[in-house]
Amino acid sequence: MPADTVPAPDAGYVAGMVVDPLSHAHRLMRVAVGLIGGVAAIAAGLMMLTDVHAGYRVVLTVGGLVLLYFALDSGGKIVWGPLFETGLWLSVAWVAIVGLSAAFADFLPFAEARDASATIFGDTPTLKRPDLLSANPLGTDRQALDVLGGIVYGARVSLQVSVLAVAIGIIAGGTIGVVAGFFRGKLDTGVGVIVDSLLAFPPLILLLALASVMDRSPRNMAIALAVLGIPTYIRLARVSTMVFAEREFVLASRAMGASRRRIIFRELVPNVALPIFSYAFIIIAVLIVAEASLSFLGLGIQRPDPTWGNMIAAGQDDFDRHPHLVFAPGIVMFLTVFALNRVGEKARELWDPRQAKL
Amino acid sequence: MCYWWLKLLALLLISGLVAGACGNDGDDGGDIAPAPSTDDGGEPAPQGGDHAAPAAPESSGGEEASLPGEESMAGGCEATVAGTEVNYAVYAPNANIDPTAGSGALVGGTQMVNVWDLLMVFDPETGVSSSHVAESLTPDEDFTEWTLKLRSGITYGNGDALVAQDVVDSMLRFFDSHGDGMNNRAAGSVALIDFDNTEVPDDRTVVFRLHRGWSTFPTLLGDEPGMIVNPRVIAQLLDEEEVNATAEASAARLVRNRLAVSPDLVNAASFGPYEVAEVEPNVRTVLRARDDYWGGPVCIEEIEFTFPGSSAANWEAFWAGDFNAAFLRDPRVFADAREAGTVLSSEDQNVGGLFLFNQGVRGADAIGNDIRVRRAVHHAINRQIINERAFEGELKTTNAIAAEGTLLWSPELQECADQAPAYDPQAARALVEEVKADTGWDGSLFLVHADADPGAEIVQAVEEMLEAAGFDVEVDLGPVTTVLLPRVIVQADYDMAGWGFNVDGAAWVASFNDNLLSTSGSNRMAFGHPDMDAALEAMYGAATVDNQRAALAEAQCVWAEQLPAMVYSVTEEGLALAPEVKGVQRAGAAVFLFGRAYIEN
Amino acid sequence: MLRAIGLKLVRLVPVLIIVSLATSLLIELVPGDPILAIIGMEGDASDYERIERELGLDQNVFSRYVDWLGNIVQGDFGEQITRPGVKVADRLRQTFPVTMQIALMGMVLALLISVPVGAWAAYRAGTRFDRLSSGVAFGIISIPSFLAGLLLVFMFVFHSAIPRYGALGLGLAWSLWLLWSAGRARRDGAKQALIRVAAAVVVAGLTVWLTNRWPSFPRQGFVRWTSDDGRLENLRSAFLPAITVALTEIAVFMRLLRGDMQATLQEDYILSARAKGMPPVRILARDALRPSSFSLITLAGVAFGRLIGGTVIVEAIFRLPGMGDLIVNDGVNTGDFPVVQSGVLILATFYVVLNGAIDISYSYLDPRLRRAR
Repeated sequence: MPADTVPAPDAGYVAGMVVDPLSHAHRLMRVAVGLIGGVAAIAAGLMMLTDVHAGYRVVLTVGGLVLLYFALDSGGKIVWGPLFETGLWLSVAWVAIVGLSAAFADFLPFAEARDASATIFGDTPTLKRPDLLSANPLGTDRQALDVLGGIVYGARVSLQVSVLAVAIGIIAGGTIGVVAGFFRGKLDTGVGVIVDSLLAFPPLILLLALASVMDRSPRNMAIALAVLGIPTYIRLARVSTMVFAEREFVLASRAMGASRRRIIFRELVPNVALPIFSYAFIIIAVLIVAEASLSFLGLGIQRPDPTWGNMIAAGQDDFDRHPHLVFAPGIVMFLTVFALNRVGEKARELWDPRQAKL
Repeated sequence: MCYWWLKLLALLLISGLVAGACGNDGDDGGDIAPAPSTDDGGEPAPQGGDHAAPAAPESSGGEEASLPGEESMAGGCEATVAGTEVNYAVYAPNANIDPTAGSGALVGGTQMVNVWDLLMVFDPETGVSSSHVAESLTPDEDFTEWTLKLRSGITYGNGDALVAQDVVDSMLRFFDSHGDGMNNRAAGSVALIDFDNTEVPDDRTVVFRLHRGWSTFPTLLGDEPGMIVNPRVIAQLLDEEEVNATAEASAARLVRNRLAVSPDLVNAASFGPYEVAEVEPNVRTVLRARDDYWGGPVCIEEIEFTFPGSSAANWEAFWAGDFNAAFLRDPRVFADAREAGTVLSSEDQNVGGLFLFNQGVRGADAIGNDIRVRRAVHHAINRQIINERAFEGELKTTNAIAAEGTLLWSPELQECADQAPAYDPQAARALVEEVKADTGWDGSLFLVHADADPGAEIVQAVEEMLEAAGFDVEVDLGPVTTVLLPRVIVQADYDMAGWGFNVDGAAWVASFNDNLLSTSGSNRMAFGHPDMDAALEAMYGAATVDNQRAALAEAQCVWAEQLPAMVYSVTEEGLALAPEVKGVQRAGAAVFLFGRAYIEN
Repeated sequence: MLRAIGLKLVRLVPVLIIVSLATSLLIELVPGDPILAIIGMEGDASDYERIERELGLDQNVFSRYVDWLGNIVQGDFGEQITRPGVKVADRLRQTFPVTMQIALMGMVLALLISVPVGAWAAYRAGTRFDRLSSGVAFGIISIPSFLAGLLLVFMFVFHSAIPRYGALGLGLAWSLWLLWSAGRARRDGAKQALIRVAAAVVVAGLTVWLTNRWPSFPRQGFVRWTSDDGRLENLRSAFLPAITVALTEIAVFMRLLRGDMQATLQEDYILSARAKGMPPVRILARDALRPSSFSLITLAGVAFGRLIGGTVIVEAIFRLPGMGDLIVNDGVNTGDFPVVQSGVLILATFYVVLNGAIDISYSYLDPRLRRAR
């Protein structure tokens, strides 16, 4: 998916669309063909040609996806104009799908995905291959648990952990940063030393230690990951506060004799919060990866609570023989992280005045 | 117009290049096996090409004329062949090379045996020990007196000659090490030697007198106590370290620490086929051929031991061509290796997969003390489900303490093993209900297990089956050193624990006695039964393989009645070898002598 | 300048003290127990207290920390608890170069790839190349490095035909595209067309040569730079880990450079150079790169400092005997505090010193900031 990230509308690109030589009907036709062809290719790749070599099916499916993307791209541009960002809206749609299915997982008709004791006397085979038309569309794992269901419940845990971690990070780090940036002086120096220490501490070792000390519940994982993000938030909030504290409206309210508390809460916090929030999507994406990395090292949330990380970690030993155990959660994680990054990029573009500067 | 000509020319040139490339590819097609298919049937066999097997290219240089070839398998060569190298993937990171500091064959056993050599070598196939550094070892009629004759003309690295007194001194050091922070598994067995009455009539003879008759005493000399460390070097080191010794660190320990990091000292004190060239703790140990080895020329110039991390990692790296010898210990990995047609030298260790029951260690009030609970667990657990869910069906499950196919198995033993409660979830549920009703126990069971792959899967499967039978299982799954050992050994805080006795063919008498004897310090379960003690006692006297089988069958009968623990499988362990590595001698399940090994062209 | 360095050094001390103190507290909390690591499966509960006394482990955290700090100040890193006799300093000397090399190679690879791609993407902003490269960058950022490492192993070690013939196909396609564009470039003059034809031949030649001499990579392990096997073996064993490390950085660097470069390209002097018809490569390399690379240098420095402490995953995948492996496996997992303490101290020092150096050199290099001081 080529992602158009140029902040300013690009002259050549727009011009290209404007002088498109094709007629309207012609373009509609192209969209329709692309949609039908794409869906057909994906369907054929995923479901029908089960006795064909896996490589060809992958090529067919990927080809179908590319076709579908281009069809949606031109379709979107016809409907919403040439500045329509197909990649961005697809990303938003994907995040929404993942978020909603995670939220309503309990109401979705999955085969048993979490309680392994329920499968022991059942007749679902272990390590079943993916078959989209069966009760286990993405196959089953070593415990005969449904992979698709695992992915959806995993999305719930992964998202819970990372959103919670970001929330803790924003609140704790943001507060400290605003205070340090506002009061400056010795307090700021002290905070600076602590931030430096946190950053100097090898991050994974900090996580290892925290993960082995605490019970590995989603909540504790979130706390551990939040600790990792706090210095970044402190820095962001501190810099933003310092910038805003010099601005006219703050100086004006100071001159009017507003209390410090009022300046912080009424003037600074609302302004500082937005750029920080704009980072939230990207940090959520980073934390999803971090949680998975911890699981890979055997320190994440433990089964039977599925997370994308522990699903991949459990599958990677026998990657060659049962690729679906790694690829199914791996691809979903990839797409989600990709989409969050894409959305986050846009959010920063819109909300962070300092833009791409890290 | 001329551009068209230019383009045509360039196109021709390019297609020429491509054709050249393809032709070239055809020429050395064997070099880089094209494996276009992505399924696992592909053949990235250890590529004998430029990079894969470091041993291959140099070995072709010069020396092959002197190789006797097929005629003498034992000799293999007349001198060390320059450039030949064995890259050995070990199972656990290297440890101290001092035998008294050894902690089992899995940890550095092969390194040690190739440096120190062995008095006797146990053959797992026949169950017989044959003499090696010893010339002979003969018992009296009740196995209390053993006469050891040494080979003559063996000298240590520092030039000292090996004499009979060295054997006794070396073993005494072993004996003393126990209680000095060392926990060598063989130390307990060394204590069976009556050192006060052991005699050294001449420089080549030792007459061992034992505290009790012991028919398989030779296996002890095929283990770490059979590795002789030059006592004169040790004595000198002890003198040197005397000044540094404190209440916390005895001189003996300081000497061990020095041996761990100084190859020169080890080489001076040893006479095995290899010398230590380099030790990088936890990473690699490099051994180099000793030029004056008593057993004739050592063909392989260098053995490098590295630690990839796990059986699966070892196998993967072996398959990629990083190693030409790799130690394996996972049934799934063995299945892969067999499927690939790899040369394997392996052995099934008995009582490998096991669940311990806490039967009241140190007077604790443990529910496992109630035999109905142990019986219920036996009824509740289906070994086949563990196999399917954790081992992909590749585990060799068994309900016997000596599995069919191992040396000490017998039909009588199996008959007794089958008396133990078999899988029957109904019966399990009934028993659990009964105990709950009788004792007011709430059904809770604390299961402790190591998380090494596939620990998590084993625990899940077992937990599922136990809960289905009405147990309320709480699990602690984690690394051996942070979960299993503290729970089981230090705190004795567990009801059921994943464990393994890993009884090999050589040390079986000691293994069973250590783990099951009511008075043993390594009895982790507080299990004790007079019938079992009697059966264990009888093992020491069994002389022939038939007698040994009978003794073990007896122990199995008591086991099936008393259910000290639940066996579910054997553990296969052994070496995957590249086809060109020949003449490796197995001296135990995890111990391999490379003294007569060579690399075939 | 000297004052700035002095200030940084003064700040180093409290940071390192906090880091090391925090390390010792964490180690105290972590369940890893060196005594159990010594006792092993064969051990006896009765040995526990004796070994604890022998090793002096019955002291409390703070007195242990003070002891350790006292020794460190004297340059003594102590001995590893679980491997008696082994000096921690020796372990650090063995493992630090491994991590250092992987991180350094990763950074160099990342810069080598990201700088030209990022610069070109900025120059041709909005084109297909730009969108494709930024899409790929997004994709790469979204692959966790452990998964990337596993995929690299899968392709380069076990199914080397995939990248090998993939590279062949791509290279040939590229050279054919160059040929095709030579035809179109005719109208710009004979020289342009000739250059393209020559480039096509060179690309094809290089591709074919590479396909023929496709290197094989080891699955795991590390051959030292100083070992008898030679430098080439060392590079071969470090290549896949370095690429794994580089992947994420490539994407980040590329996007950063592209943004900064795009701003630079709007400057008057560049526009005038462009208007004069200077070749783009010259404009990018000579005029635009330097002023656009300040944030890249900063970020690269920070990333490098982070990598030194963050190669744990790569070391686990490729089983490299580096600092991460030492601290995690020999340290944290067995509770061997001298190892963890000293290892973390080295990493933290490196990080802090590097960042300080970047801060100082940054203000020194960037004329705008220098004037501001």
